[in-house]
Amino acid sequence: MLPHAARLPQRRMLLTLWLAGGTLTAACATRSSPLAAPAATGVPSDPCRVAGDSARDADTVVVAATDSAVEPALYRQRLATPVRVDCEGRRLPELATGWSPDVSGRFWTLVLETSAAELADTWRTRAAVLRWAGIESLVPLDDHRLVVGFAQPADSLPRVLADTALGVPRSRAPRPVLVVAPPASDPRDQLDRAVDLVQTEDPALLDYARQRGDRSILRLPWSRTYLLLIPAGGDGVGNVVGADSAAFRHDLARDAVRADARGAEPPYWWEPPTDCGPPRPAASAGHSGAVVYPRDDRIARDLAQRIVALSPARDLTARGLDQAEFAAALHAGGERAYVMAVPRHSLLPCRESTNWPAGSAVIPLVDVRSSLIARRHAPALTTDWDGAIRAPGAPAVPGGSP
Amino acid sequence: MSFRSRLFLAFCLAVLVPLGMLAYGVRREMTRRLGADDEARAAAAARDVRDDLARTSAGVAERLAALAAGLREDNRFRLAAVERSDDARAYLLDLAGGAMRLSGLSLLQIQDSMGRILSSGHFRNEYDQLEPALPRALAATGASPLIVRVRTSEDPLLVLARADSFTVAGRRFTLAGGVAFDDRLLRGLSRDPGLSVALAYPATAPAPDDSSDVVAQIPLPYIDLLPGAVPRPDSARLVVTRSAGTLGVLRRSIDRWFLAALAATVGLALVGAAWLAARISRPLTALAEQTAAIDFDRLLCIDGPMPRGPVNDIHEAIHRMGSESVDTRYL
Repeated sequence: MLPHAARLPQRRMLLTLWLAGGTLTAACATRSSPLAAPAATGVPSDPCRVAGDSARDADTVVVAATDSAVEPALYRQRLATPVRVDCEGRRLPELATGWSPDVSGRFWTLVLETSAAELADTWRTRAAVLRWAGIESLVPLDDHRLVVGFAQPADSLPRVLADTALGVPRSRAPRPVLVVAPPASDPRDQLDRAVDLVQTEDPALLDYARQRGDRSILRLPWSRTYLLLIPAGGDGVGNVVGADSAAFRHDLARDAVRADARGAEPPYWWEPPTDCGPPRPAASAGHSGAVVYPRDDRIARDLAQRIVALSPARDLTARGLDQAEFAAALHAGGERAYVMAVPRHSLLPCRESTNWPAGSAVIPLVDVRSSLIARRHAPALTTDWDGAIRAPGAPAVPGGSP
Repeated sequence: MSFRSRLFLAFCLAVLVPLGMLAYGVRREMTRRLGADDEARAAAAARDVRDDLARTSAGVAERLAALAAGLREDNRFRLAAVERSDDARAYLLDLAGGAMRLSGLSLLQIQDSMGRILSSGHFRNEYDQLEPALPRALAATGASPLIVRVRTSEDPLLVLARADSFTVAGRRFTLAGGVAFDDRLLRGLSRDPGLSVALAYPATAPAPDDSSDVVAQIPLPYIDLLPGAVPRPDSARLVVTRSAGTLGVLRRSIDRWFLAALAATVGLALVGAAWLAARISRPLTALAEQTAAIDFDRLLCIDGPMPRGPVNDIHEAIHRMGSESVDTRYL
């Protein structure tokens, strides 16, 4: 990192150039400043390590999951993002080995291992993602340097650069490679087989693992929040929350949901609402007048059933829809209410809420987390900012803004 | 009218009148017997339905009694329901669901003495809701089966319910359980393929009560526990109906065969009468023809032998008369 005194003249120059206007100015400014590679610091004990024996060298880790919780890990294995953000919020290099801001904090120059022009071209095909991420400009300075202009200034590298929406396919998956075990009709079969890790929210499976005694169980960070979404102008579900919403959420987490859950806790990424552009036109879909939920989501079903039990509405029912039907119903906004899971943390709030009916009331219900059941001496894994597991890959070198 | 026609008509009457009387009598008797058998069958079926219903209800009661005995001894239930242990609460909430599935019931609720739902098998997440009307209604009906319409998270559920109660640490708990009153149960109640059983309850369209197809109506106590409904004891009816046209089809079939047999018999009788009339009238016709052909002027001049038969007899008689008197007349 550059000493503070050394950066002052550069900042003045950058400010002047910025006032002259434009991305090119900013790009020139960053070109004139020598980029500081992120300092490599040793990580004696990684607080984000979640399982296994890091000393063991393994090519693959066989992973099973009883739900879709393992999907983020698989995305991260396939896609490389400019940086990754670990469980403590540290930016770690991936495609970008270094980065630095201009004086305004809006323009960040990434030093890439890959072609800057190719990455810029790839991103430009994702206009919606760039808009949601607040990225206004992309200027490759040379083969390996890319200036990314953001709408808002930031003190540190915007975390949105760690979102897989900005990822590009990896040429080589980080070791150990996560291999998904074939599904089993009984989730306990996964434990009986030679599976290294099982990610689950199922309390019965966790109980079975405890009784086996040959596995270690690790709770992962809170990763999902369940919401009750009530479209504007509908009948709603009546007053089911009551006066004490914190107690309501706590009771839901304790009794209604059969998973490791707690009452949803702020901050919520959807508050305050982000300007995501004009709402999408409502689609047409059949209306059942029910509280609907994704059929394969056990927790959403439990919550929807509790909402129905508490509602004074005589004709209110809960109805499970498959994923495609649920997405269509949500987009149409014609149901009484929707119970669904969203990520506990989101780097792209507009991506998560783009399908929500305009003007909907959003009631957070519970946060849930999954647990990792690991075979003894399984290879080590780490967790990211959102609780997703990932292979550690190359030694984690913390990055940072100079 | 010719002699042959008169003979034909006489034969027809002689055949058709007794045949018609036989047909009428047989059909009348068969209809009476069929009707009587049908009535007896319907009465027996209604009796079977009542018996099956009572047996099903008793089966539910036995299962509830076994569950109650188990819960009385269940330490975790005691910890959760009496001691209000947080550790045992999840067990309590899932208790009714597991017990309901194991015992083959469709409804199971464990309530405390205030009517608060401690655990529900058919609607797991309705815990802590108050529903005192159900145990009250079940207590009022005693050993009789009660039809209950309860809320689930999806569609309303109609059950044949019974109740049991038990005491733990001086506190009284109620178990309400039942089996779904669905098409499968109704099909099981109607063993006779010619009869069908349906449940008419206030929330449905009323079943026809004065139709001749209805063979029995069994009143049952009923209570609607859906939100917004007034949970007061009402009445439902188990309506046993003769399947449309079962007896009628049988009667029509018999009538068809009878008519076919009658038509065949009448046809044969007509042919027989015609043949008989022809057979009987043929010699007389021949006689008349021959008589008409007699030339009385030459009657006595016929020489040679005449063929045997009535004409010959008449010829000979005339000959005899001629030898005695015709001579006088013509000479």
